[in-house]
Amino acid sequence: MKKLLEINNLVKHFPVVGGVFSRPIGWVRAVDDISFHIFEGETFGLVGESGSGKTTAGKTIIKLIEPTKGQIIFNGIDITKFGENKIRPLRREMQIIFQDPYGSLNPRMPIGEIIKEPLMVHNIGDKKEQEERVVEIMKLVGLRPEYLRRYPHEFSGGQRQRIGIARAVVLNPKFIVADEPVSALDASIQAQVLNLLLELQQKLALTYLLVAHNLAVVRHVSDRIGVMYLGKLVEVAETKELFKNPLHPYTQALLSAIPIPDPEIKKERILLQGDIPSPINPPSGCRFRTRCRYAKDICKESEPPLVDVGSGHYVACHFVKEGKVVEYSK
Amino acid sequence: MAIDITTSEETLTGRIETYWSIVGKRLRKHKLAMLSLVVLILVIAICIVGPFISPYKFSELGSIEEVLQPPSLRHWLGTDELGRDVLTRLFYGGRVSLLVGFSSVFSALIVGIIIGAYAGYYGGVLDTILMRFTDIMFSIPVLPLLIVLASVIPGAGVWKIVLVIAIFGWMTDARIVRGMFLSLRENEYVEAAKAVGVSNSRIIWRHILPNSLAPIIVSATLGVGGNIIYEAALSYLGFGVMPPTPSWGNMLQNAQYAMAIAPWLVWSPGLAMFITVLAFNYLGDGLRDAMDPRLYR
Repeated sequence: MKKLLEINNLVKHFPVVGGVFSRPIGWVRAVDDISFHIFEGETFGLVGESGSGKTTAGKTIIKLIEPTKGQIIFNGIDITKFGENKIRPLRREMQIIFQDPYGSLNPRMPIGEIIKEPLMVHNIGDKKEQEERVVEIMKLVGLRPEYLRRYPHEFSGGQRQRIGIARAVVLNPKFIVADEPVSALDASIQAQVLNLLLELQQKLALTYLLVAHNLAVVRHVSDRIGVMYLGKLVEVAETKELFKNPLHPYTQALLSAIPIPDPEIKKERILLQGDIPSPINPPSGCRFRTRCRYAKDICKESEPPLVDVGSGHYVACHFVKEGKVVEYSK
Repeated sequence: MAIDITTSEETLTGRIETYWSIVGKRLRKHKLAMLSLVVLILVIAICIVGPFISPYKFSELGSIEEVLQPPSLRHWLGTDELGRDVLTRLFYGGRVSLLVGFSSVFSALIVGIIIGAYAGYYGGVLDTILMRFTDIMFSIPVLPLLIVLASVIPGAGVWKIVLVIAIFGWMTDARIVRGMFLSLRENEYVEAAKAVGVSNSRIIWRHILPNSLAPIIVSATLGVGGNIIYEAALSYLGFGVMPPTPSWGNMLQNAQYAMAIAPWLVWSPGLAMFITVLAFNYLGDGLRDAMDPRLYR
C-alpha cells in the first residue's frame, strides 16, 4: 500500500509567555516527537484523552499550525517548511472537518457561499460551474440544495456538520483530517454523520485522519489506530489487533473503560489514578509512569521508544517483549 | 443508510430570519430610538427639500428694514444682522452640518477600520506600531491642533473641515475594530477559511469584518452627532465652515454678537443642533441594544 502521509519525529511546542516582556517562560509540549504514517485510502484513528495533543497533531499535519520540528511528507512531497503561498495549492488536496459545527461556520455567510468559497479561492470553474458543483455537493452530503441561501444558524448541529463536510470535500481532496467530527453532536446523529463520512470515503477515495476520544466511534470507522498520551504516541496497531491485544498499559486502561451493553459480562476495569500530568512539565522517562500500574525505576530513567512488535503493531513500553506485557518481579 | 436528513433532522422554520431582520425587530421595539430615527429622517428631509421651497436664498441680503427682525409671517424664524432669512439659512446650515457629520465619520471610519483590522488581525510588531501610533494620536490635545490645522491647510471649503475632523476621529474606531478582530480571529471559521486556502485579505474583509459590524455601526451613529458638535466648536472659534456658507456652528457663532437684542438667532441653530445630536445619540443607544451579541448565539 502507498503511504499518503508520513510523519517523522513531529514536534509542536507552544510557548507559555509571561512576565513584563512577554518572554516565553516555558513550553507546552503538545506534540512531542511522534512518527507514523497513513496509507492511501485508509482511516487512521488518533485517540487520547483531553490534552494529549491529538488535535494539535491533526492540525499541524495539514500545516494549520506550524510544526516546531520534524518532517511531514504528503504524497511524496516534504511540506514541513512550506510557507503560506506554497501550501495554498496543496489545500486542494488536504482538508479538515472541525469539531464544533457552530463555531466553524461563518454566521454571516449563506451556506451556499461557505461551500462555494473553496472553489472561488482556487479558481475552479466559472461561476455557473461553481454553483452547479455546490448543488451537487449539497446533495451528496444530504443537504437540500434549496437551502443554499440560508444562514448557518438556521440549521441543526447535524446539518451544520454536513455543511462543514461539504466545504471540506467540495475541492475533491485526497486527505481529510476529521477533528472530533461527531463529539459535539447528539448520539443519534453521530451515527448518521459517521456513516456519511464512510460513504464519502468510498465514493471519493478519501483518506482520513480521524481525531477522537470516543473509542466506539474510532473503532467503528478506523482501519488503524494510534493512541496518544501527553504528546507521545504510545501504541499504533490495526483496529482489530488493538482491541484484541492492547499492549500498552495505557491502551489497556482505555479499552477497559468502554462499557459493554450486557450486564451479564463482568470485566476487570483498570482505573487510572490521578489526572493527566501537565504537558508543560511532563514526567521524565516514560510519560505514563506516574499513572502506570507496572511502573518501575527504569521507566523514570529512560523513555521507551515506539518499536514494532510484529505485523505493524507498535508499542512504546519497556515491558513489552515479543508482543506480550512482561511484568517485572523484583 | 439514507442520508436524507429532511425527515430526521428537520428543524427549520419556514421563515428566514437573518441577523439584520432580528436587529430590525428589536430596534422597532425601542421607542426612543424609533422616535429619534423619525426625527432624523425629518430633519434630513427638511434640510434637503427646504431650500427649494423657501422664497429666499441663504446669502440674499435684506433691505435695511429687514435687519434683525424677530420671527414674523414673512420670516418665520426672523432675520439676522444682514437681513438674511434665518429659516433658509437653517436649512442650508443643516445640509452643511449633516454633510460634515456624515462624511467626517465615514472618512474616519475607513481609516479606523483599516488600521484596526490590520493591527488586530496580524498582531505582533504591526499591532504594536499601529496601536502606539493610535495612542500618540489620542494623547494630542485636539482642539488647539485642530485650530492650527484648520489655519495651515489652505482653502476654506467644507471638505477641509471634514478632513481636519477625520484626522483626529479615527482612533476610537481603530481601537474598537482591533478589539473585535483580536477576538474574532480566534474563531474556528477563520481557521476553517485558512484551511481552505483563503487569503488573509479575504479573511479580513469577507469573514471577520462582517462579523464586527455591530459596534462599528453604533460608534459611527454616535460619531455623527459628536462630529456635528465638533464642527460647531471649530466654527465658533472661527475655524470652521466659512461664511457666507452657513452651518449650524457658524450661525451660532454669528449670533453671539446680537444675542441680547435678537435671541432667535441663537435659538434656531442651537435647538436644531441639540435635537439632531440628541436623536443621533438615542439612535446609537437603541442600535447598541438591538445589536447586543447576546441576542444572537
